[in-house]
Amino acid sequence: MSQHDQCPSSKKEGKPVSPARAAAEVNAASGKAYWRSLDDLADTPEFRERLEREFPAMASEISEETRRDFLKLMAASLALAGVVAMPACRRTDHKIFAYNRDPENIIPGNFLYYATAMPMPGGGAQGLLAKTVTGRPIKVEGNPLHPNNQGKSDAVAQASVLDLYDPDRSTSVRHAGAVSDWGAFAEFAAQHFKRFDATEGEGLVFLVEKTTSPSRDAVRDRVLRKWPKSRWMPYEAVDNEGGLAGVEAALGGPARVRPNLAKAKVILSLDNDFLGEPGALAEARQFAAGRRVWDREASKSRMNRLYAVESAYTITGGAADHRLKARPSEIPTIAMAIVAATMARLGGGGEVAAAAGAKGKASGEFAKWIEAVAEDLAGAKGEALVTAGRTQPAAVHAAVAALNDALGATNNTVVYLPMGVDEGASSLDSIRGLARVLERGQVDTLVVVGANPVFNAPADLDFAAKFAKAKTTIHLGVWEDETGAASTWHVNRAHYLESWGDVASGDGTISAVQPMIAPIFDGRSDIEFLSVLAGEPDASGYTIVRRTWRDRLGVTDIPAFDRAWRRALHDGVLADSASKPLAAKINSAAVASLVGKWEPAARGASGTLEVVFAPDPRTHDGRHANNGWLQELPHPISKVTWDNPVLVSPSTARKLGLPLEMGDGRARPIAVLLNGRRLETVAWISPGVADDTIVLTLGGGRRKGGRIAEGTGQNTYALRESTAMWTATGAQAPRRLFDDEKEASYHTLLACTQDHHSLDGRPILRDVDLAAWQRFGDEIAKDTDAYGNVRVLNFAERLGDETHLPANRDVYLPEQSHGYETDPETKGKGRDPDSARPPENAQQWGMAIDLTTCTGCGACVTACQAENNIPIVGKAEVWKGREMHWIRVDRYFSGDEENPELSVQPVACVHCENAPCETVCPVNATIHGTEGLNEMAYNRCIGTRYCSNNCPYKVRRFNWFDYASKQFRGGFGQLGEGIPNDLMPRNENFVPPRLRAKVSELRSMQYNPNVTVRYRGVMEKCTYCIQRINRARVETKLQDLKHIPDGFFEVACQQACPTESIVFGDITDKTSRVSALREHGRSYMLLYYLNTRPRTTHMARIRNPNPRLVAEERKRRWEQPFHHEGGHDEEGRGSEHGAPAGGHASLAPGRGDSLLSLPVLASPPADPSRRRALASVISGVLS
Amino acid sequence: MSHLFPKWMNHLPTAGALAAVGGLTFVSVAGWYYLTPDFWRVGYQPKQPVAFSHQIHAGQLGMDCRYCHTHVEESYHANVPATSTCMNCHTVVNQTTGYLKKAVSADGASPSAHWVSKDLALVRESYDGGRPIEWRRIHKAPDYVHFPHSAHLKAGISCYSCHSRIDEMPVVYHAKGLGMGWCLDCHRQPEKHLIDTSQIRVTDLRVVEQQLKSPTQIESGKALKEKAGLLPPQHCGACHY
Repeated sequence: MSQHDQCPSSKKEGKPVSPARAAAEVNAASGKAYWRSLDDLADTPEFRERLEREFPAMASEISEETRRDFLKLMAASLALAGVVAMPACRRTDHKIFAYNRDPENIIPGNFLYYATAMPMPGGGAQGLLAKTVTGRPIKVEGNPLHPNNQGKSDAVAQASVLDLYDPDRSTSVRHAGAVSDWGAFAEFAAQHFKRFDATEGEGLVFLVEKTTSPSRDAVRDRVLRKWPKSRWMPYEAVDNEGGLAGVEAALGGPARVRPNLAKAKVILSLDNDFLGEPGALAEARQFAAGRRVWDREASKSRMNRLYAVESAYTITGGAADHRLKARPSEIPTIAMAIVAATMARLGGGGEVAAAAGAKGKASGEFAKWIEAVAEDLAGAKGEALVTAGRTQPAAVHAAVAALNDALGATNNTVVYLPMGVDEGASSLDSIRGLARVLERGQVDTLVVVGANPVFNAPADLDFAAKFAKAKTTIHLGVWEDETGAASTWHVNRAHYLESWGDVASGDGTISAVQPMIAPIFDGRSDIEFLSVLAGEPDASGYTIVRRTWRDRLGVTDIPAFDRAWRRALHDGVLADSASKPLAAKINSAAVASLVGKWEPAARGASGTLEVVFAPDPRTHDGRHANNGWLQELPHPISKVTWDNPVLVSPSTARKLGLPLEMGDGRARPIAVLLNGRRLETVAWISPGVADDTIVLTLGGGRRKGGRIAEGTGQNTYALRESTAMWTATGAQAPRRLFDDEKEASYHTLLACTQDHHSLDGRPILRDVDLAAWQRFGDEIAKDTDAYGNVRVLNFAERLGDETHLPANRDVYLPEQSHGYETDPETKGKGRDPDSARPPENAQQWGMAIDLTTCTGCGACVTACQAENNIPIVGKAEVWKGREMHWIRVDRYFSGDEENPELSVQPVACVHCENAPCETVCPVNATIHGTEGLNEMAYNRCIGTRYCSNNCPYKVRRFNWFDYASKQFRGGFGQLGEGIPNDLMPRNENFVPPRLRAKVSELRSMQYNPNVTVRYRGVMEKCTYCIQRINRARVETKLQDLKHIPDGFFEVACQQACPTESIVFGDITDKTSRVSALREHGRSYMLLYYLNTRPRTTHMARIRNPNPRLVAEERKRRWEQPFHHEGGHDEEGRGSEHGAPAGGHASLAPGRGDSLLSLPVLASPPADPSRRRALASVISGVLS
Repeated sequence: MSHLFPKWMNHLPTAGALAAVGGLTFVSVAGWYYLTPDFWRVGYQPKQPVAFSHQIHAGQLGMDCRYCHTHVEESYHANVPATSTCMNCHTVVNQTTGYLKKAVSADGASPSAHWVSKDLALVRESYDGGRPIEWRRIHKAPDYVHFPHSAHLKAGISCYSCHSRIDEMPVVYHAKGLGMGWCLDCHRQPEKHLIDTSQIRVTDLRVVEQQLKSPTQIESGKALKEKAGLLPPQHCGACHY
């Protein structure tokens, strides 16, 4: 509790209520301290200063240099205005271009959806519905019929539509760096590839990205049949070498491991971020389903428990109930120890247990943890699942497969599916083999399809130099990336939304990739391109896919095939195409021998650091680096945008001599030295990273591939060697020193959003352990507060400061409040829907966000951005706190700064019924609608920003510049362009709009026509997707329905959310899902005591810890979860708050009540009847 | 010192004050009128690339508006028809000489205007796969206004209420202001414009006009409003988002 602490005990006579607060004070009443950053934890003066500003420093200031530029440009623009103003003073002539011939199905103004699929890197797919408007795809949504997506999608899929309209896309074929065309290439190819017919493909190498496309496999087979001596090498920079080898050894053949988390009650992740992988929607959905706590009785048997062992915090680690922080070199031995211990408990265990026991060492600090996990796993036999990540060696994967088998998981919580040749190939073997043959000069022609080895091949292969040794290199790519630029020929590739193809998802289900639009730049898809090389120049993607499918289905009857084909196109999946699980039989001897042969990596010498490489959750291996939506999406853990700094723990930072204070986003310049390679980069201190370990995120520092990609972040591939693809030891990280202070600060700016939009420690996050929930979850506490008002609190509300505060009383008379607040018991939360329906009979919208299942992945943020035309603002602008995302996902740490717990909370506009923003708008631009929405009329807004000032949730975003409509480069690529005038590079946003180029026409094709594109000086925020509500209302009216039925439409964030944590609907409809959630015991309103009455309610997070691993102190809270500490000094706690701690929970009348900011009432009269009288006077005054 | 200023100058302050008041009044009144859509928009009548006459097609021939504006009942927009719609009628094609050679009226008198119409050249060119016809837009709500045609038609608001007697316009012009106040007038008193769609076609502009001008309209409109439970929204978010 901080400034708003209203407990009388802290307002004793003569004791000042200090506005300053210490970290321990940042408390939810459940007794946890939450903090967002180390500065927040330490409560540094700089942090406080930043907090107290409405916007971060420089947000509303222009630095001196740029101000001068601005004035100069302003003068120029005025001069220009004089020239052009007069002729421009006419009515704009708007044209309407009607179709020449009416296309079927297209209704201007209405959306048309087509099923398609997005191939994922390394294999697998997302089944999507592309939303098109008059032939343009503008957004993708999950395909409800697709087994992986089931209507959901992730941030990468949401952002993929932006790639289609990327103005930096490769727009033509290029030959030796010069623009060429497809005809020239086709002619060249026809001549060139003839020579291989005689040699059977000697000297011809294909380096292809991994994909699970049946048609590409068919084309591959045709290519290899034509040229049997050519080499076909599947390659991904981010691959799972250990998993492929380990599972193959354990099962005696290659297999894809597919977890079935819905059945798993105890899950152990060994450095496997299975919730954060791109396209891991089935995993997220199944995990959430096993975690959702509806009623406390059922939860006893239902809620799953997740253990995670990892070196750096990941989304999975954040969702885990227990997370063990371990160095990369320690994880395999921990894994072995767990395998041995669990098998021992399962009885016997045999050779695998013996071999694992010999390797697994449970050193002191981990022993207890390992024992507890082993016992839990063994106890959940048949409902347990262990999963290992790509950093783990083959031996661990094999041992895990054996352990899963012993746990009864095979074909239960984990299934093994057949795998294609490409998917099962080792990327490392491919790239090493390619480097070898290139070195020997055996490569005549190298064809690179989709991959970017010049950028992401291991550094020790010196691939860029070897690449030049091939006589002819041909590259197919959507962007002309590093490999494209180095190739003899670069062919522009068609985006998946503009080409025919097919792809199998993780469970084997095949989907067609359907084009939504003709290739904008006449690109070719991979199968078309390869077919041309193989001498089938006329094969279109459509015919190739149909041919593959016809062969697969074995249908000779054309009409029958057409029926199946049309059905598959419509549904987005080919019926009954899912793979049948293999009859997996674990070869214990092979596993034991693999484990026996494996040697644990030696820990690096003392004083050196261990290194772990991690794919970026947004740009993956760097392929999405030119996507502004993904670059600006804050990293789910570090919250850094537009960069990939080295992550270190606070203790390692101290050892390295790096100051802990982040200040205003200054990272620390360091150099990372590994095996004689050096990378100059910056460090960011991230609690939860293992000690003496640095995390190098892949995907930054692209040299070629678009304006956004180039120069954003650091190229960590420079340190990655083929012998240490995922972990390494022996690194050093000295500080970089600069002579010039300015240069130093320039090199260290990072745009991190973790402290942006902070609520000054006001507790808005609630989480509690399952044991407490099971004990108290259904209780509704009802009492009368000191002023005689009825106060009704559910479980989640009792966790917070509501127990401390008088009941909210509406200051409005019933007739002023649209009739939907009268009964104090319902608090407008829909417990009594009949009284809550306003006279207009309008539906009342509300949202519920479940923090138990939210993983913080960011799909909602990107979906919102795609739906609502939210612009990106660039690194410099994010640094100033001007990011425009309508949803922010707050990430909180709690507990020890070295090993904290992590919580996430998405916050968007909560649509207060008593909205503070509405009362301060001088022009009525933000007002209340009859359906309870807090509405923004952009055309009325004059940009005073009063509303944002008065918003307690900090969810309003201001258009400081014409981000959306004008070409914008603020902050792009400033690193490496020389030293700027001031801290920040020149911001081209200061160029007056008239002189700035308009946003590329291509880019604006993505905009949603149903949402206004906002202009400069306008406030905006979450609208509850009002365009979807209004459209749904029109549609229901046309169907003669009185109300929009529940589930008739979904808002964009809800639609995307992979874990279904966001639910939206009519809160006056008793049967709606959102009503049920609002009535739920875990439901609470943010900053309830302000009486803003949010329409968005959050649901407290429930953790499911293992009692064996829980400290006694935490166990005490299971008995008394409502006891709070902090905020009051010792003295206060000793007297009124001390014993019994349940004093507040019991809500004895007259305990601890006072009215906000009315000091005269700080200590209400002792006599209850007098107090009540006083209260009625006050409420009379207020109303 | 004698009189430095002539005596008539004594009236200057009075005259000045009067002029100021008059000027202010003029500016206000002028602003009230000239700066509104009623002045800027009403009467806008651009020349269209094809001299398509609504008077002939919708008036004389009695074609329903929805023959061309096909999606008006199912979309936010009343679409401008594709050229292929024109060609549904205008392709009475002679195999040897091209379009419309046969277009001679039944009594064998003068050949149709189509025979010589240069305007149709554009239509034919477009239909044959050339440039689409560049119609000039007359009725345009700003980008921040979202107006659903379909919902209004469904509620029983005729084309007439916003577009006036299109069937009498040889060249279409902007007949109503379409400003926000104008919209709200109707949203506050929808009974003035509601017609019974079971009795009258919404596109039968002549009959609709008669009905809306008849003294019984308010009463019948109120009955219709009551029956359908219509509550036209008046909050910002109904149209602005």
